[in-house]
Amino acid sequence: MAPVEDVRGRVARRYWRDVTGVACLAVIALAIGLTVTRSYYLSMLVYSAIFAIAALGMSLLFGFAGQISVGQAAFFGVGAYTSALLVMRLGLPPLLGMVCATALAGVFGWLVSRPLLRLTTNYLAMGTLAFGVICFIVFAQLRFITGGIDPGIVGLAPFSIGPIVLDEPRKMYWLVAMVLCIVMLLVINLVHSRIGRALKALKVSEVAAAGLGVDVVRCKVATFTLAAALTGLAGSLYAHFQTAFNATVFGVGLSIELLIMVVVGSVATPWGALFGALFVTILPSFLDDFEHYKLLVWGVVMSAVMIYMPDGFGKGVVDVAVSLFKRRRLK
Amino acid sequence: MAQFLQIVLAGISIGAIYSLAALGFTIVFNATKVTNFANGEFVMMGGLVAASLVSNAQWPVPAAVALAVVVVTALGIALDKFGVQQARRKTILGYAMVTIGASLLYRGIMQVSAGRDVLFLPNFGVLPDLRLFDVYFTSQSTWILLTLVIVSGALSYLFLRTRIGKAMRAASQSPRAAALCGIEPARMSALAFGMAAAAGALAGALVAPVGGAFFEYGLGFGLKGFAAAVLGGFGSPVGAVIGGLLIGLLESLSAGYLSSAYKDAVALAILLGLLLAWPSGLLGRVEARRV
Repeated sequence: MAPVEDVRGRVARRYWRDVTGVACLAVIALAIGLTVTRSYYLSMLVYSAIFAIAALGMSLLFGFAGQISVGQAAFFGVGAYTSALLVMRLGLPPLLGMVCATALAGVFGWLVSRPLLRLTTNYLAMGTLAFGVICFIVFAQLRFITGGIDPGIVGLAPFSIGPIVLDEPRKMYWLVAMVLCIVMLLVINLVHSRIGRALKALKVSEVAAAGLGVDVVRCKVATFTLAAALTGLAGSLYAHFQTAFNATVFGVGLSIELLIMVVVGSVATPWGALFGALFVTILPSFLDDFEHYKLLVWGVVMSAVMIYMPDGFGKGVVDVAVSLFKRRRLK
Repeated sequence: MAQFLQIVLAGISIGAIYSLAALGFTIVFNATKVTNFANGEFVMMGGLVAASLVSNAQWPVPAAVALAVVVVTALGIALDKFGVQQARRKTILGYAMVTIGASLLYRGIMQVSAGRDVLFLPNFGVLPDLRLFDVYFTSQSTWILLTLVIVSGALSYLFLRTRIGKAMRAASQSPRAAALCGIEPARMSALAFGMAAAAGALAGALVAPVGGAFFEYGLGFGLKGFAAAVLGGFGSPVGAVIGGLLIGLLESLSAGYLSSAYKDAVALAILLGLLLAWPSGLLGRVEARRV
């Protein structure tokens, strides 16, 4: 039996390892920002970062708390439309709009979470799926608010902080990279805290976790709210980067892609969400005519991963690498 | 009055399609305790395969429908054998994720092979259009309702009177005891998926002349079929049929009298309401676990 100090030491080491990881991420982001000049590559990175923020929320909800939600696109839409409308109709500064969008998405998530999270796995998946589709239909039909599918939101000003206007991918990159690092730090801190451990416990067995004194309902609701808020934040950034979008963005496809990001990366760690977001955003640019084959590719990826590597593709690869390494060390 | 009856008839016709989709969910769940998220895709594929055989290869309608049912049944059994049975993580969540992946896969296969146009089958014909008191009973809706009656009858006969039906019921009640009696749970599971796929494919082919076939329609059929199954009581085949007809009716009434723009949202709102407030449904034996 390992002495208590040893266990605490291991846990603390893991935490500082993750924090170092965030520092490395910041350094890499800095390096990329200073060296990469092609606008196309920077655009890809901006989108990856935006979806990574949403995927981090999904990672907390699905990876850690084990609650499957196939309706996150609804919160992405709430964030995007809130930001767009506050800036365009009320003339608020984009930063304030972003904060409001995040908050509103979080509140919406909180309102929806209490009833939804009473459902168990299959019913939760169907319920969140239905919720996502209903929100999409509402986005598409409320043309006087959202512009619907045609014409949607057009002519949103790019993000600006005071006098600095972020109208190029190069400038937007700095903002999203910074936001991503901050969110990553937040998530790492959450994962290594008492709440993070409570989430891991309740994923394995809600009954056992309740027996240990974990307030299961409050944890699940808090996680869902945070995931919704992060997804709303991502939506807000997306709206300002795109400057024009319509309701088709916020359909089931986006919810499924967020799920794929977490599943392809690794269910067990937030870094998986980062890797998954990068993968899902960048893969389409390698295949010509990707739109045509998108569903097929995602279907193959998701099916293969869920059948053979249910803890995530990234984790599967890491496990294989680790087992090979261990075998060589034994020799 | 005639308009009301017409709306009711339209609702029951589409409701019959939802009933067949709901039966798919129920049969698979009863046999394997798996909620098959790809069930809606079976319906979609039935219609799309048949329609593209007729449109692109000029097959006669009956042959196209028959082949579509065979192909989709094979795909359903493949989902069981290569997907659900092979899953490394044999938990509810694991199976759910596998079927979600399969639904994406089947949707993608259809998008690539059948294309991105909405295809329509020609009306089945043979049966005449009827007109009673200003209410039109189109030939296609008669086909739909007739098929529902035949399929329901066949399934009841299968489950209540035949040995294989009793074997399936035994395997669903207690897989281990059934295995001791020489019933292979894996074979029963494949059979269940096959039956669900066949019923779904028939439904898809039946609705293709009226509503068209398109690779994105699977989501709608899946959600509405699930809503129907839950409304009738998840796990009860009779409930599935009743639930489907009710959902179709409610959808048609709200589209006719309230707003047709939100038509698709009606069934989904009913589903959410049921899941949150009344998960056992009308004839449900299965109680949703509450946390």
